[in-house]
Amino acid sequence: MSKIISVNHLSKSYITEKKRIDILQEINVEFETGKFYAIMGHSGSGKSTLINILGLIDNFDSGKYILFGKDITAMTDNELSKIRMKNIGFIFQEFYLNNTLKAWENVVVPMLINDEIPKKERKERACKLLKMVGLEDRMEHYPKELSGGEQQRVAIARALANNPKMILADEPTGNLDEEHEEQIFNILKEISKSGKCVIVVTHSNDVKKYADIIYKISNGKIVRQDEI
Amino acid sequence: MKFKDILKFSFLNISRSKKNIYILLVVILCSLISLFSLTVLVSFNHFIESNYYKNIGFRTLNVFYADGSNMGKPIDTKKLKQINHVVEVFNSKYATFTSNSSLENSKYDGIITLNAITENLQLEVVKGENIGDKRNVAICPINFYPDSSASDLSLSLKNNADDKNLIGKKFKFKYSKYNNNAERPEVIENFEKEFEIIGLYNTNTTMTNANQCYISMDDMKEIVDTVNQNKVTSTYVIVDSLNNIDSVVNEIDNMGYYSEVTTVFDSKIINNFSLICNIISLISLSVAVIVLVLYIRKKIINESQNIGVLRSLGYTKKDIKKYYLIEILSSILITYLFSLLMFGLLYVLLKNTILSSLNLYNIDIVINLFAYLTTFSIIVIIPYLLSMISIYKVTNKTILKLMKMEE
Ligand SMILES: Nc1ncnc2c1ncn2[C@@H]1O[C@H](COP(=O)(O)OP(=O)(O)OP(=O)(O)O)[C@@H](O)[C@H]1O
Ligand SMILES: [Mg+2]
Repeated sequence: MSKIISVNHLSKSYITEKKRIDILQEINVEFETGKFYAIMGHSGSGKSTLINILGLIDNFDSGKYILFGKDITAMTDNELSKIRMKNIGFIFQEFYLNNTLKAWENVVVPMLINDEIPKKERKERACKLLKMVGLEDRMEHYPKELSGGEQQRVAIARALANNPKMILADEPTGNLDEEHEEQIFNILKEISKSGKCVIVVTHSNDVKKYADIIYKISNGKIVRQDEI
Repeated sequence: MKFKDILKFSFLNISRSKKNIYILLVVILCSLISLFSLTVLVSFNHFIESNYYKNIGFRTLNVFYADGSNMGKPIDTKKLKQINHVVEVFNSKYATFTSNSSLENSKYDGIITLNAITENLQLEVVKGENIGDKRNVAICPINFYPDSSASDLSLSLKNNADDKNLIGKKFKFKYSKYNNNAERPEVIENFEKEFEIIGLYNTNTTMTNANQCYISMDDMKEIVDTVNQNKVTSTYVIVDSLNNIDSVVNEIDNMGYYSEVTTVFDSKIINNFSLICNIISLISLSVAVIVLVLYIRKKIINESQNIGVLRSLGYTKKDIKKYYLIEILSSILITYLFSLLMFGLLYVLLKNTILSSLNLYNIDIVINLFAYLTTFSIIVIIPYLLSMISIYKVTNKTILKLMKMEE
């Protein structure tokens, strides 16, 4: 287990029509590989904002974000993209799959920009990942032909495509029923056990069964809830 | 991102959406229509230029004295001949002569019209040889129809006479000498002059009747002078091309003569036809461009969310631009090439069926670069440039903004 994320005094606020909303205030937090983190909090507390910042798709106002030992504030857009490609896997509430592509083709999409995966191995790798999330018999299906839970599992396989060190999931079970939620949490747990850092934003209390560490965001601060 | 992968995924994206296919079909249809109308337009102009203008009548000026009191005074033909672009000057009475011939049989009444030709008049012979300085020879239509009804017969009557046997064939032209001093002209003597057909021309190129033959000016003078008919005559001035008529008319005016074109070229039909072709191609091209531009813009907006997702997966702005520019260019290009292919197939098909009848009129549907370049630049380049702008705009949005955009 090693520390991959270190956030110090990170702040973010929005200024809307004369009003300034401080979403995150001087946040300090660290994340390690091989652990399952849950981030909880009220709606509008800033969970998505934080996870988007961690995933390099949103910016922040002040503070330091050290990712894999490097300060990301000095990085160019291309460098950030490269880190996302290699080391960050995103999972969203809305799945965001490409409807004109079959399940395995969706999983191949991130591999297209990764020179380290040879062309010949792409499909094989995609199928292996789909098998891992229990979709070995749904590889040739289009997203529209899959249930919500199945679609989210395709999205998880896609997030794992380039073997990233961290998986960020923003309410991955928000659109799913309890049975599918359990399935997704189990898969994410397995992923964390395999040595990846899994950070999940969720409203579901059931996550407590799976999470190694739970954080709560309230009033712009992040508070560690309990340690298992 | 590799070019091959982009092409493969673009193909999957386009081919798997029925809407995409329908839109591209509309574009193909429009490009086909414009390709056809432009081809017809160019072919028609080509036909007019290369054939219709060959009719000497369109560039023959009838010259008189502007002042009626000078009637009967000879016109200075030498001076007329010195005008730039004038190829021939002769007395109108030597222009044509119509009479009976030995070609009369159960099918034909044998009436033919002889026209005087000189080397300067450049009659195009499609078979055999030209008259040159030879005497007693004639050039006849390839579809020679020695009958007074030849003018009624449509030009489509092809090869009335067997053109293989026409060359070398001899016929006698019959004419009579009249006594002009009698109260009613009376025949003094009948003549027959034998001609050998040494060449054939295409009446479609001259737009003249199929009973018209050409003989040398000397032979014509012999006939006309023998007949000695009392005729009001004028002087014919033949100009080298239609474009130079105005300048020649001016020169003749300056000499104090009055001139008019013997056969006026009706450019109205051609202008109207060109206008219709232009409008059709303009409309079809506009429809194609509008459909393509709207489609691409909508597509890019619809794809905003996908672009955001791709960015979150690690695609750089450059990757995104590359992907969409290649996808859009290849789909427009394939659409255009497909239209060209369809056009080629239809062209071959039509040429051998419906359009083959046009060959009788010597109308050749020419495949022309102009049509391709016009349709290419309008259907491919304009939508592509516009889509480039849209893509650059979209890729510059932040990832979160893109992902929040709904389809
Ligand atoms: N682009 C923006 N402009 C202004 N305010 C914003 C913007 N994006 C988010 N906010 C505000 O920031 C706050 C935090 O938003 P965020 O999406 O992080 O909340 P959240 O904890 O994920 O909530 P939920 O559980 O509902 O998803 C909210 O009050 C939201 O209104
Ligand atoms: Mg949220």
